[in-house]
Amino acid sequence: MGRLRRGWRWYFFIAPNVLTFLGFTLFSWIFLIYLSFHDWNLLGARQFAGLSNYERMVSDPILRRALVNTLQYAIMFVIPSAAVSLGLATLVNQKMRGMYLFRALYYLPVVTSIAVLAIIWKFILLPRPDGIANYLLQQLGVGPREWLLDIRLALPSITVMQIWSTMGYYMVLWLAGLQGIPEEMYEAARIDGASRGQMFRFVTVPMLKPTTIFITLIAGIGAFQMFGPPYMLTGGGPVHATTTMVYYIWQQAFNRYRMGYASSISLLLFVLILIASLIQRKYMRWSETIF
Amino acid sequence: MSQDKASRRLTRRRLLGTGLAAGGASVLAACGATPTPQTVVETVVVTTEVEKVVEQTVEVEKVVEKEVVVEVTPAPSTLAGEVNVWVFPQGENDLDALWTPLNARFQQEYPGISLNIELLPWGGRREKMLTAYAAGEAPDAAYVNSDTISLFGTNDVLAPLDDVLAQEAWDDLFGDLQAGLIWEGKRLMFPALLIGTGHLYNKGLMSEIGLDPEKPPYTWDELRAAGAASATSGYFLTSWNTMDWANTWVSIVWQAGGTTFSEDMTKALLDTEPAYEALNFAVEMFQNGWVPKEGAVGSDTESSAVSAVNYWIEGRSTLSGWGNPDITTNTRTQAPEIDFGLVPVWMNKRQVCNGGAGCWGVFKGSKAPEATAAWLNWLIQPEQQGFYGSVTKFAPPRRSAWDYWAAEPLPKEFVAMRIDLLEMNQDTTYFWQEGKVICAPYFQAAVLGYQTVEQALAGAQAELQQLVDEFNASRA
Repeated sequence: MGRLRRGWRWYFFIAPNVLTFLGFTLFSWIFLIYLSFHDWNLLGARQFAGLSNYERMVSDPILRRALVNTLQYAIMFVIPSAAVSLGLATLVNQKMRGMYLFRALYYLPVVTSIAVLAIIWKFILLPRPDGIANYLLQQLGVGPREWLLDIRLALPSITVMQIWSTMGYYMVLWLAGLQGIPEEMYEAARIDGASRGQMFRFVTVPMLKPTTIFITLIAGIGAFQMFGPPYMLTGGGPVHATTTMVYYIWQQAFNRYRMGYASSISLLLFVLILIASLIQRKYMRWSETIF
Repeated sequence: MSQDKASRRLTRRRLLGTGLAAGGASVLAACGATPTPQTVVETVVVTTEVEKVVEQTVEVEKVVEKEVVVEVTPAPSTLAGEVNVWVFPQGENDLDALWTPLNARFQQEYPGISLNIELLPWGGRREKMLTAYAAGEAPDAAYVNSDTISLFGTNDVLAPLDDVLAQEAWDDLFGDLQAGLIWEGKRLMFPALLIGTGHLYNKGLMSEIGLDPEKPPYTWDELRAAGAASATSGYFLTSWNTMDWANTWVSIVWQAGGTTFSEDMTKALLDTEPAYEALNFAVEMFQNGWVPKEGAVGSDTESSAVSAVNYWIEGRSTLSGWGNPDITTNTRTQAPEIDFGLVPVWMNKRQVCNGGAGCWGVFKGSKAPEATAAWLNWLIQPEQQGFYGSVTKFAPPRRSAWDYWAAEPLPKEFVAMRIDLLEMNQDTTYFWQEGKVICAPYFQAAVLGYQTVEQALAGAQAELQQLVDEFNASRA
């Protein structure tokens, strides 16, 4: 209490953030939990529904499909995305002419609207032999594929699009990590006779651990929240093959007008993200590295 | 004789009395809830008095010399208030091309009403309106498509317009339009524009594939023949999207002689013969290569549900996809080399097409109901509707507005061709969004060959029936 009295002036500085958190996060959170026990279509009166929304979740086959799709997507997205962007960051970390241009070009998809990206990828993934992806495959002697129409290929196709469109963002984060590694460490490794591969393995990778944790964490959370491509490109199809959790939440809320059910699925999603983050915390030992 | 003559006479007193009565009526009208001042054209009879001696009595006779047409512009209304309206883009520059001139005209007549037109993007249209209403922040009025009437009607969101708008405006609407705007006996929306989609055909391609370029295919059998001939020559017949509820499902099932829901809304009817025939027709289209396969999967936002390639404009499709009247002018602009004609409304057992309407609705929580009503009354006048249609290139829904609709002959002909074949019923009034989201995955499964037509319809039927049952239970 005495500390509070002594340091009261400082609370003014954190007040905006605290108020924003209370108003836009904590309140929304409490309301979300409250809604999950109600039936509400946004316009009419809210009716108490007990656990019926949670019961519906258990017997909803499309939700199960969305859950599996989301997990599959997270697995397909996080590690490849981190690896590709690290490769890019390593490339653009060279001191060469025009490197800033390359960095800007790789970052361009990040600042491009998902609507524009969707149109571009619709062209690339046309299911006919003259589609761009199919044309390239044919140059390699592989037959054409029906990318977004094939229930086995639709989600991987979207994953590739997402890796491409987000790699610039992760590249910048990796780049910051790479440029934070002291040059002396590489010099010491060189004096010890380390090859380029050994320097990467024994200097770069360990020194990038905080960046790795941060990128895999936010990429993982982002993967669980994937929404744009199914919304713009596939409508969750074909036959729910690209329906993700967040897309399904949106559909339930704004196409089926089931705000209560959408809230209960949102809570499930929160629990999933929490579990995934805790697993990551355990195996990547955050607390030792970052805190 | 003299009585008859007297009745035709107009004395100064009578003229004064008539003038006072007319003036009084005007004052009363101006005091009404939703005055709609207009420029009134009156015929004033100008008379001179001639004295004649007839059998020793003096009779004052009026001799009509001439009739003068005088324009009487009433004083601007004194009604005041602030009206907030949400609209969505119909053209490329709606604010400047459409709303600025309309607002200027409105302000001349209603200087006391402050009009705020907010142009919002189509994306997330329903979400914006629903969340705004839930938060008590809805506008006074908005452009609301008829696909939302069951949601708004069930939840008592929109103010009934029966007593707000003049009966003559309702009577002036084309065909069956009102049927889709009534919820439990009350008219909740008034059409801003007419939606009746259709196809064009490429005369050159018709010749090339061996069909008569002056006989566009429109019966399902003719369409099948044209589809086969197009595919053989490496062309598509048209385009198709499984997410397009109105065109590629509702219209098709109507043409097959059925509906999606029973009239009393107690049954989903996907287990009936017309539904089977309709989905089978779609499957034929996809599996025979008569339509681009990529249309099987797409965004559930209709505006985004287009193919990446416009095969019609590229001259690779015998028929266009479903389009609004402006498809005629757009085709002429984008592909002037295409010699095209209009395809009659498709027909199987019935020749019918979905006739939706983009509408105006007034929210119940409006803070300025009288001013909003005045604005809406003004906006739906034939002159304004005609201007709206001229700029947006959609047909005005009022007959009398066609006199003011400055469209080219081709879009007019496009609309005229289907105006008597447009229909609205329970299939489009209820569950437009829900139906699309529920059925599209099943339709996709059928057209892509993951399920048979029977399996797909059985799955969709079960889910739609559950939706209907839940809806009826919630209203019980």
